[in-house]
Order: sequence, then structure tokens, then C-alpha cells
Amino acid sequence: MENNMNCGCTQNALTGPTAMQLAQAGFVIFDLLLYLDTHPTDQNALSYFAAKKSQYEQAKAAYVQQIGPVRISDVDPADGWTWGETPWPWEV
Amino acid sequence: MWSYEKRLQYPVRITNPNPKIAQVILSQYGGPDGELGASLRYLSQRYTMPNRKVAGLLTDIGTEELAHLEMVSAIVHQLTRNLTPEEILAQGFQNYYVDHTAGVYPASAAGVPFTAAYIQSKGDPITDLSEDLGAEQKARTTYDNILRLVDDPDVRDPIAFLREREIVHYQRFGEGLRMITEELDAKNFYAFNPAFDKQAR
Repeated sequence: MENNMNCGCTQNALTGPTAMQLAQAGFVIFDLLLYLDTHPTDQNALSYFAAKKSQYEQAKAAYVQQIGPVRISDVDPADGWTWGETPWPWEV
Repeated sequence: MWSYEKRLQYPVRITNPNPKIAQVILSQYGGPDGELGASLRYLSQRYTMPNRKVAGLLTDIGTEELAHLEMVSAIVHQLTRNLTPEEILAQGFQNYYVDHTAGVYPASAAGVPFTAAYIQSKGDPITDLSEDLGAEQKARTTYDNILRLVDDPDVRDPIAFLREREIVHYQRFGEGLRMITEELDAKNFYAFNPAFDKQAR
């Protein structure tokens, strides 16, 4: 099994609890996005979206802090070019 | 434009390579009812969709299909790691291997390269959404077929997720079709093409 990362985290991090929370929070708001595309005035869905959006942002912040950047905008150049350090999502 | 999130929509972590199954699953990458066709179809249709909400739906589902494309190729890649020539021959993977080694290439399980002939972007909202409903069911059936052939739970898990998403997309496109027809003449949906004609002919 290859290991060509320098982040100090293992490939297991990609399926660990921090990553799973981000995956779940991200999925909920994405599925809601599709529902809201066809039901844009559903007030319950809109409040649910607001709640889940902040959950996603927290989960992403935890992921970025513990594992690495999710989007380019998460990269802090003071840390060096971390974008390429964490495993790419298809790496086992 | 697109921005990339360095994560899969749903995790893929496969420990046991299996190139025979990889070749089957490849059809959801570059095959007739696969994710490449799906994303290209929806992203192409959105420009002439006069209903802006449905154009948004096509953009968002098209984007999700790109994420699914990534999952399918991750599955294929993880199933074709560390192969020996003996395993390649024993698993019947040699025909793909000779042309692509262990590279991920958009083709069907039968080796037919991806073509835009698999999709249509007809510039007519009723037609385009009807095509999309059919596409989602074809993809769902393909995933059903894959699930019948696969025992490995590491493979079944992401495939089952992808299958569920096709069913949800079918639901959303059905709502989109209803939204389109509600804007048309209830006595004749086909009086004109709202994506092209300025008014009823």
C-alpha cells in the first residue's frame, strides 16, 4: 500500500470520524439543495438548510484543522502548499 | 465554474483488488448509462431550459454526477491496483490491460469507448426532461445489475449509495417536468417549444 503523503495523517483519516462527519454534513446540504431547487419556497426545508449549513461549516473547519484543506480557499500559505500533501480522495 | 472539494461524496476504500469486477463497473464510468454521460447530458441541457429553477436543478445534478464519476473511477482504480500478469489473465482483464494497462479509461464493460451518441440535448424542455427520467432509470438498473454480481461489501457499499442517488434524481426530474408543464398551455403542452419559439405557432 503506497504512502506518499507528508501530512503525518494516515489514509485511515479519510474514513475516520472527522472525515465521516464532513461527508455526512456535506451530503445533507447537497441533497437539500436538490430538493430546494424544485421546492424553493418550502420554509421547513429552508430552515433545515440553514441549520445543516452551519453544521457543514463546523465539520469542514475541524477537517481542515486536523487533516488538511478541502478547497483551495482553505489553504494557508503560511503552512506551505498543503493542497497536495493530504491523500487524494481516490488513494487507498 | 467548478470548484473542487478534495473528498469523495461517499467514501471508497477497497482492500481487495478484483479486475474482473472493475471491468464491469467501468460501464458506469464510460458506458451508455454511466456517470460521464449523465453529467454531460444535464450540463449541456441546462442552457436552453427556460425555467430557471429547472436550469438550476440540471446544473446541480450535473455537478453531482461529476462527483459520482469520481467515485466510480476511484472504485475501478482501487480494484485494479498491484496486479500481476497471472492475475490479469486469470481474471479475464487482458483485453482492457493491453490497451490501457491499469489506467482508468472511459469505456463500457464491453470495451466500447464513450461517445456523445449516448446522450441527447434536444433543446426542448419536455423532451430533455423525459430523456433525463429515462437516463436515471437506466443508471439505476445498471447499478442493480452490478450489485447482483458483487459480493465484496467494500464495493457494494458505495455502489448502493450511487444507486440510491439515481432514484432521488428521478424524483427531482419528475418534479422538474411537472414544473415545466405547469407553465404551458394545459390544453396543449406541445403548442410551441418554450426554449425556441417566441410564442405559440
